[in-house]
Amino acid sequence: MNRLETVMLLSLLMVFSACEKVVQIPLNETEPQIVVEAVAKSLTGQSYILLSRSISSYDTSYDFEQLTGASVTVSEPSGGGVVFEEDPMVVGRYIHPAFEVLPNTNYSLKVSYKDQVLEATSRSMTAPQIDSFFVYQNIGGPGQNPDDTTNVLIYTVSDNPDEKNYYRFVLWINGVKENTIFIETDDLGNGETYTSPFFGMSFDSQDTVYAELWSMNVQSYDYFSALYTNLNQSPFSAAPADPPSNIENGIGYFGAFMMDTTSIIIP
Amino acid sequence: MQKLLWSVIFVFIAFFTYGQGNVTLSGNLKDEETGEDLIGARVVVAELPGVGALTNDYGFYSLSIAPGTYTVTIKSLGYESVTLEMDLSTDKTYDLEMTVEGKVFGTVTVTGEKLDENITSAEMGVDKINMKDIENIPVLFGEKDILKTLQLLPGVKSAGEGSAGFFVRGGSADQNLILLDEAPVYNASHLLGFFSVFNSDALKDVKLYKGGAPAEFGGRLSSVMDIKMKEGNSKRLSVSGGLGLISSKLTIEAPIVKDKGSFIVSARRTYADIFLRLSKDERAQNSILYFYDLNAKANYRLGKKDRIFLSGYFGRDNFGFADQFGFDWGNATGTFRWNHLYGDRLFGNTSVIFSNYNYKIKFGAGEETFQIGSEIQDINIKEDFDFFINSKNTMSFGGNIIHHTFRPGEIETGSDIGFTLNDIENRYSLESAAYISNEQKIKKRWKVVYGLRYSNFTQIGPGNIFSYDLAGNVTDTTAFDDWEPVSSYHGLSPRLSTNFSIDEKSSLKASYARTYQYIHLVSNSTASSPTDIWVPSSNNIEPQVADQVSVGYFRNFYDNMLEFSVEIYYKDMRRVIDYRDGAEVTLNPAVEGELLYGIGRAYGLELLLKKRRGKFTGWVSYTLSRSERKFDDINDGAWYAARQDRTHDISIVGMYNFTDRITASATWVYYTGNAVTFPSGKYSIDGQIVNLYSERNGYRMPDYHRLDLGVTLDNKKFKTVLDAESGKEVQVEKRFESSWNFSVYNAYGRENAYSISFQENAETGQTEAVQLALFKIIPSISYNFKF
Repeated sequence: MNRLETVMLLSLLMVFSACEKVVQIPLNETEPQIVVEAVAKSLTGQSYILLSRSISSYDTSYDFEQLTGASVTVSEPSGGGVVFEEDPMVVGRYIHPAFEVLPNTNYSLKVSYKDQVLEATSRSMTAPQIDSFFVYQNIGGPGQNPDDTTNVLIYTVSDNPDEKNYYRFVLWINGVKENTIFIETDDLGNGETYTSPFFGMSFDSQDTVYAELWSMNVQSYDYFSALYTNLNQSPFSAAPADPPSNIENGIGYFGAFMMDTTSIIIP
Repeated sequence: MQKLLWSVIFVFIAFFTYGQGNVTLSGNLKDEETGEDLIGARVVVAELPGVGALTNDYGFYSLSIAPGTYTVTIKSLGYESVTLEMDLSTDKTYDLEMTVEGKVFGTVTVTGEKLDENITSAEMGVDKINMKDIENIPVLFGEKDILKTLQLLPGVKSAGEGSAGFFVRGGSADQNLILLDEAPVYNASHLLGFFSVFNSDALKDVKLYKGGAPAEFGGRLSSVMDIKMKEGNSKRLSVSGGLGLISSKLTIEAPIVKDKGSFIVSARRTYADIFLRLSKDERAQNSILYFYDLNAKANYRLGKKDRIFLSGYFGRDNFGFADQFGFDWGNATGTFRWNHLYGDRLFGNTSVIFSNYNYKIKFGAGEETFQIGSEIQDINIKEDFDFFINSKNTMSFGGNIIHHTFRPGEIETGSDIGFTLNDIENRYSLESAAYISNEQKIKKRWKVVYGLRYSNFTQIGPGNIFSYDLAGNVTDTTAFDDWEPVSSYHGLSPRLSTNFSIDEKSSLKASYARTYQYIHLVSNSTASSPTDIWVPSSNNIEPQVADQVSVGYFRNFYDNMLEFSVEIYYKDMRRVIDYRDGAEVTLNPAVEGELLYGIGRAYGLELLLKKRRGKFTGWVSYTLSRSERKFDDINDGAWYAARQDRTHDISIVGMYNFTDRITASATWVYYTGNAVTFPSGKYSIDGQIVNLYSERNGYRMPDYHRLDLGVTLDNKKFKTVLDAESGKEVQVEKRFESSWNFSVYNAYGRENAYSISFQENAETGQTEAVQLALFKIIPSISYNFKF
């Protein structure tokens, strides 16, 4: 309900005399940490592992050092290991042309960089299923003029009744990745066909929207849920914390995701 | 266990009542003008120093002494004392209506009475507020608020800028039991915590126990705030009201049958939305933003020995946009009470209490709606007895049983919405308690209040109950039938407080209390959020427990004009609750899996110097304190400062009566900034810049300080009329009283930080610490009237 509180706060601020200013707060800096973004997908050849480092809060260079020369292996319980090679196009990105995640399988990740070894494991779930994407034209609404129209994108997914499911939608609008994290569980309708709008999103006519629906285990879901909270702090938010990472000796996440994809052109 | 306690009660009664040839003086004390019961008024006997009785919550007193003729004095704070000779050869009933002090002089309060109750009472760790002070102390938007005024006393800290939420002695906000006519109020604030739900016009008495609460109270770790509503004027129709900057209020009270029964109805509503409707902007016109409160109470005396009361509160916040979005929340409480006098020494009260808090969020209109809600509801049956054994012993005992219903998530959808969602299952529990407590005077100098409270909490069916592993994931589900016990907890809470009078001017006090808390507030917000939910103890959640010890020294100066106290306390807390990082509170059936359990400790020193009489009144309070928590999963299991940990907390309150018509007041507060979590680095993931945190609450917000000023101008209270008989001009009190109140909140305009966030500058990309200050200088004006 963070967004709701933010809306309420903004309304209050209109009434009251709030003011914002930049202040100097000295911060204790910590040692740079290795950041792992390891996305193992069921889509052949589309998995990637990004390696970088954290920097100090007031660093103005914005140089999150991309780590090259690391040895990156993703292995399955059968014993097979797949070595991910550095992407010649993107520094610090490691890929494999044929790798794909299979359902209900344990995977482990091992990254060796200089004298540091980072490890993580993740288990994939069954494949998710997108039933449909459609657009609903909303007229008026909170914060809108009465004749404003909004293109609301609505999705329908079918949930697997035999397992506890956790989902994330990732959207690309005209080829650009949307930063908003859309996550969902089947808590309120296990095994149901679930329909929902992408809250807070508005699309222009002729936009091409490509979507990946990721199905994941609870550890990955908790990570994204905490990441969402972390990125959406309001003045009322409880103490922020780092998302619970499954990377040993580092931060970030390693997830084995089963996927379904679809795309739509907004009419 | 309960049987044992009842046996103890009867043995006690038998012991204390054995072999007594005393007579009993008993009766009711009331305000002469309004007929309101006087709580805590004293009846003392000149011939028997140290012997006396206090009126209970319903104005009843009872004093048993050896037969004889005595000089009896009846006194109550703010009222003229009455002294009379009494022949007490047999039991006697004496009722009295007392006159407000100063009334006869038509001037500022003058009193010859000794106001030394703070010295003589065994109570410690208690904050009381004079309802008159609330009228004068300046507050945000001029909205008089008991919760905000209480924050100016030692040991009580504000939950944030302008907030009605509070922390007591290092405890969290949900560890305060807030009772309105015995009914718990589960969410005591409006508009994200900026205003409390208590309309001060409808209130009679407020008492905050910071530690060592009597055995009658239980269920929260840190404090009990006992608020009593007015009974209503039983003498005549009386109307009062006020027009303020953001709200208006109206109170009507009148006798039902004169001197037998009365009622009061008090309402308050804000009107920001009415101004929004005048706006040219269509969006503003369609916005909804208001809250209202309704308090009502009636009482009726059925006979000499019986009296009934019915009181209720209903309040709601509404926030929304046209018919497309709605968010509303509020409390409803109801209390039915029956007082009965069993003989002249045993006073009994039976209460049936209802309390409900719920919120609803609605999206869409017509058949295309989607609505979610959450609710907690209590039905409580309570029986209390005051047994005035003799002049040395007053015993209280009783018990209660509460049926709690928790509805964590109710979902309703319109027929056109195209999907269905399941509600989150309700949870039920029974919370019961029995207690016994005795206030005993030992010789002339000692007074001891000792008691025992036994409480039980049983989670009952129906429901599918989850079990969790250590990581908070559901491992098992078991189905339970209606009323079938799922899990049960119980605890014994000893309570002790004692007072040793060193001399007439000073005393030493000490207290110990154990408290249990069986229901817990789950919140992912630092402000009081309407979507916070209460969860019961269960097979997964154990109750919170605390032990608190405190000692204090109390001393009065200049014939009780100045009052000084110093108290120190130590509080040990176990199984306190925090949340996993990224915990989801709303609509989460497995919310129990999101909780973490730890321990806590809080300790501090509280100083209070108060000037109670004269043209200048007020107080200075200072608290030096620490509050820490320890969780295995937070900060690697090390002790860390709780959010409410503030080292120094100072409040200075001054009120000056220039004339009987002009009162000026000023308050100044200073406190160390909250403990807060700031980042210690940043990194990039998923294409976004994310803050890296290393330590929970490892930083401090900037220090907070603020000055508020206020002036109250009373219109002339008297008019001059020509007396027909004597032909002379005489002063007559006006029926219609009115006053203007002007105040300035944050008079020197300090930009106190409400929050500090670390974000990227939109132009430079540079990470900046951005401070949000909510209120700079807020002037306000209000007009109040009474007739």
